[in-house]
Amino acid sequence: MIEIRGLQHRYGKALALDVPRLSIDASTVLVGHNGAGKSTLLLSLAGLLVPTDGVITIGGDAAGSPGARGRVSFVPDSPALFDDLTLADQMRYVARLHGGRKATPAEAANELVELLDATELLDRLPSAMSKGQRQKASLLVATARPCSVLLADEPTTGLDTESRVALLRGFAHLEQAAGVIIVSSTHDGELIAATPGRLRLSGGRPAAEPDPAAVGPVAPSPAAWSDEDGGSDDSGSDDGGSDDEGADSGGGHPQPAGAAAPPPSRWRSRSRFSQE
Amino acid sequence: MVSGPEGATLWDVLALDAPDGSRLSDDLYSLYLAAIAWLVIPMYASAVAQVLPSDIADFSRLVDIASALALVGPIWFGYRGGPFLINRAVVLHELGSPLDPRGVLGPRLARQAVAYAALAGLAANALTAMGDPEEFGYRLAARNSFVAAVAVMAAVLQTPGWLVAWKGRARRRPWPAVAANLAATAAVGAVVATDWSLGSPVGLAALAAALALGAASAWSVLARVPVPHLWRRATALDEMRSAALSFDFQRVLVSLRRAVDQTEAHRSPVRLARSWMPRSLWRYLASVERGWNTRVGQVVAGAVAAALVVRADPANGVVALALAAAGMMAGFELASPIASTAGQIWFGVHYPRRSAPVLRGQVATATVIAGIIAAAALGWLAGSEPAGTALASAGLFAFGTLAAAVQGRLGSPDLAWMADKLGTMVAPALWIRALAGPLLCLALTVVVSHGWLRPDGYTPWPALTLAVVAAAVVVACYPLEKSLP
Repeated sequence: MIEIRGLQHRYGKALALDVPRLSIDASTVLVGHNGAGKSTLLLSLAGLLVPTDGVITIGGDAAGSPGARGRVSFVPDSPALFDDLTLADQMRYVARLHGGRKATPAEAANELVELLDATELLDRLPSAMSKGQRQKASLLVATARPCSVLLADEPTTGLDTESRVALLRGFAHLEQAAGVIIVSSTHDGELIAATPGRLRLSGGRPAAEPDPAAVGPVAPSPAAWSDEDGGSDDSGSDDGGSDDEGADSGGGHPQPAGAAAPPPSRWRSRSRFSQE
Repeated sequence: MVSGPEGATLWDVLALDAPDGSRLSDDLYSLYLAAIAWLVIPMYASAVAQVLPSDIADFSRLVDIASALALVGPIWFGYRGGPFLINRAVVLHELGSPLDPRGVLGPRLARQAVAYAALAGLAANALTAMGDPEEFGYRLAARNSFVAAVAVMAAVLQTPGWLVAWKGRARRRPWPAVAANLAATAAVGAVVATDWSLGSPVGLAALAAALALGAASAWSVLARVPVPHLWRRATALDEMRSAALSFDFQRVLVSLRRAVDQTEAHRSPVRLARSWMPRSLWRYLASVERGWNTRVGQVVAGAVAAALVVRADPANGVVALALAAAGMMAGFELASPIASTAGQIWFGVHYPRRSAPVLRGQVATATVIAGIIAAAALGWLAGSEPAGTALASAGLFAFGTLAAAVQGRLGSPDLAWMADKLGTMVAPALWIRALAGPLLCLALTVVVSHGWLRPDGYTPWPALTLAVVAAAVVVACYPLEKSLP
């Protein structure tokens, strides 16, 4: 779905991103220290930053082109909401922007409202929301339109534990029910562990060696977030689930093509990372 | 996957319940208020005309020249980022949709153009009314306002073309088209700058041509406006807005001893002092290092000011105002290093309590520089011009600088304290404080123009003048910063 060739971006003289070759076909989490290039890569994928060099295609269309914009929805690190519309109106408006005057928010977004326990936010303006609620609202607005790739820049920032759990469930639901590929950047260990594909960036370059020690706290099996499994909201996050499963499963680390260990069946990774 | 109405028209966009739709009534009300202000402004401006030696023909000419210059303004504003003050939600969701970008950006551009045109019309009216009250008439004011409004509207409409030419990433940028536009607008500007009556067919045709060129330019390039650039600009604007809204808990204090290079809030390229300059000196003297284009503008403005000092008669009201404005520019330049150190713009910087010595140093430095310029002017004029003229020029320049220093300090309100005391009235209070510097500049200009520095010792209201100057010095040197309640 996402193909990157010879991608480079510089801020002045500083090299912020250098990805020779990368393909992303499944949900992937970008990890790395501050300044590693995660947000720069996401902005490039969203077409909101023109890289210094290189080519990005999404579904065959160049990033930023109308075709790619139609496939990609972006959740920035700080919420981008219309100040004078309630959440429900924003979702309707964004759906109409993409689907015409009679369009309604995507079914996945409506289900996400329930999953994120955001029903009470629907009639609120952004000014009446907390930071975490605005983060949820930003995600809901981004999913109100049809998309096949969801880019999320540190989506769990500002969320409490329950909301993080709900967000992970929501991501799982989006991928399973709507077939959305989610590419996110985060320092959140639970999100890292729950995502099948992982790309570590260091100094703007994909790091070949994964670093499990830096992944973060104990995380449950991704399957625990799934609706159909009926996993308890609390048992997964608070008890930690299986640390080893989250950190050591092959789907949890960037692997060269063909070298990945089998991920959990419901989150089968289709990512392949390769560097030239 | 694109399921939306690809290639939708402007009408399709307007048919949506866009968030901005309800603003039309607000805009109409603002235009109504502008019309009322247009009628009332001459009554206040004529008060200035009573005390500022002036000729209405000079002020009218000034409006023509300013209008002609506005027509080439898009080059600069296109380079600086264009006219679109849109937020990130618009970039993300509206420009990220299959809708035609012209439908998204066109109405916003038109709104900006009308707003700037209304402002230009009001300013032209005020300038005209500063001339001789006996010669003032609404017919002349209408002519000047019309010229200024149309010129500015055309300029705003042409800005996207220059934005795309400067910032676009397409292989083929529209340089030939915008260059042709520049040539055409220069020709139009030449026509506008010449004296013509409101009913002149040539003048009306020139203005209509300017508008048509602007509209055609906007329509042809709006679909190519670089979205990444708009996103970057919208992000910067959002950061500025959030910084302004969080003043009550996030005050920025400047640590002058550990001042480091920072970028300004509006992200213009800024570098502080030269590495070889002692910090104790640069914090008084060093100017902010800006881009080449800003420097070119400063050199042009400085050359105009120097020409005025050398050649023009400060007894003329237009010249007096220009000199004072040049002095204010110098003062702002001197005041900007600290603001940049704090990562703020010069009219909004907070000064910590212990910064008074630095502020005194700044004011003293500004006065010295103004004195040097004045001395140079005196030397140039010695034996060829009346001493009173040269002294008045120097006085205007120095007082303009002082007024800028005052403005810089008044731009440092204790926002938390004001919000606590004034609540929602904080905005008008900020406006009053923001206008204090220019008003002081104007008052001092009037005083100087009336001969305060004349060698024959004639000084109207000497005690009042001295009191104003002394108060200005105190305010300029005192950091208006208080502790949080």
